[in-house]
Amino acid sequence: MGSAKRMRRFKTKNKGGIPSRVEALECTPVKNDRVEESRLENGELQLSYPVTSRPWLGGFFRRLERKSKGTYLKKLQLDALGTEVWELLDGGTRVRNVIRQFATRHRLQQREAELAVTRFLRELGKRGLIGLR
Amino acid sequence: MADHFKYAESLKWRQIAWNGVRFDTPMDWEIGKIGYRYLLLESSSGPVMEVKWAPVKGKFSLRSQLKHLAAAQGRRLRKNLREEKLPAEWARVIDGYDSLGFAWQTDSIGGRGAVLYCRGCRKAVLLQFFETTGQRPFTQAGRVLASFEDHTEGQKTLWSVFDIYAEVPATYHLKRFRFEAGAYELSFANRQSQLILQRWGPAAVLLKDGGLEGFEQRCLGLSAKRSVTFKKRSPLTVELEDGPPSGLFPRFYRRLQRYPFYRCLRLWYEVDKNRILGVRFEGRQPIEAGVLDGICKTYATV
Repeated sequence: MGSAKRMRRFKTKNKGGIPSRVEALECTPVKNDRVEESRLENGELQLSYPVTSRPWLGGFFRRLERKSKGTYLKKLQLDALGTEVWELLDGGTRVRNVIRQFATRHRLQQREAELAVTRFLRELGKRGLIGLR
Repeated sequence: MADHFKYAESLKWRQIAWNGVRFDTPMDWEIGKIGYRYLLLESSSGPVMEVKWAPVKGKFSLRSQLKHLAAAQGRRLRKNLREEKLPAEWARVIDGYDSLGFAWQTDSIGGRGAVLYCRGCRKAVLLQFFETTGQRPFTQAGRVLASFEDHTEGQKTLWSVFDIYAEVPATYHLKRFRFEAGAYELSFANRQSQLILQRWGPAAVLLKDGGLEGFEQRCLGLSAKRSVTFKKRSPLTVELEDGPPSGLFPRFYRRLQRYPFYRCLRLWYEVDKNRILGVRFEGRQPIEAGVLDGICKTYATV
């Protein structure tokens, strides 16, 4: 049985201080206070947040416009589900509870809701819209 | 089917059935990793069970298989992996198989399992339970093993993973699968046709603009073709059908392109579960009457 050869032991090492799944679920997401929200006609949210341009790109724009301060405003439009999750982030609710509320509201399995919500939070984190406490 | 789930739920156990293998697990064990012939189950505190299987060609030796398994491990674990007599309860429930028990232990986690070989279907199975501090799946292992089956006797194969349940004709073999948040897809094929089972959620959000028709146009786009006939079977079910083109040249051209001549898609909305289910058939021959109905009848979310 070739597949048995491929069995690897379960890795318990935590590389580079990355929180484990259980630890990550216990974190509390906090919104960046520099993010501005505006509600669109269909009820969805549009987030505006300042982004610092890369130094070489900033230099290029400075030469081009002669007035850029090295930051510009970026916009992100959330869909209905994204808006819902964003509204659940009140600075006091843990990731685990956000997932539970989301799963209950849409009658989803816990695991599926976890995948959807954590992927969305990771995306927000990459953009600097939230931090984990 | 409904009775089966009611029964399993009352005991807080459920059935997992995947690619010919099936067994019961406690409700709080969830699938953490899934492969064509692999399942890893996890509870809230970590992995609890792993099962792998493969068909065997030629001779098979349980002992040499265990040696191969040990050799594939890291140095520390290799030393700890040892052959061990199966507990009496395990041995009793898997007496239909040739079996060899094993166990291993590291600082943080231990495992106990068995290599099984079924003479009936010539399939080898590696099954192991993990034990970490604070959780003892070994106590549940007897019941899991008692329910374990590695082949199907009937004309249909059962598929029951995550929240989907389906009975598919045994002639169809799994080709591809996709389990993403919000969208599941199982794709099967036999010599003549392809069968795809799909599941989307949360339906209330997806159906907000245009209902099932709008959803089909946005996400699947089959109805964009002029030749497709659209049927509304009920307020919650739609069906789309596409047959071979009428002209000789288009027909010949399509054959050259190896496109399936016949396509059929049925979509329905499970209101109480907030899901959209879809069954799609594609083939070069017309779909046998009743086959689609039979699959749709058993395909459901739990």
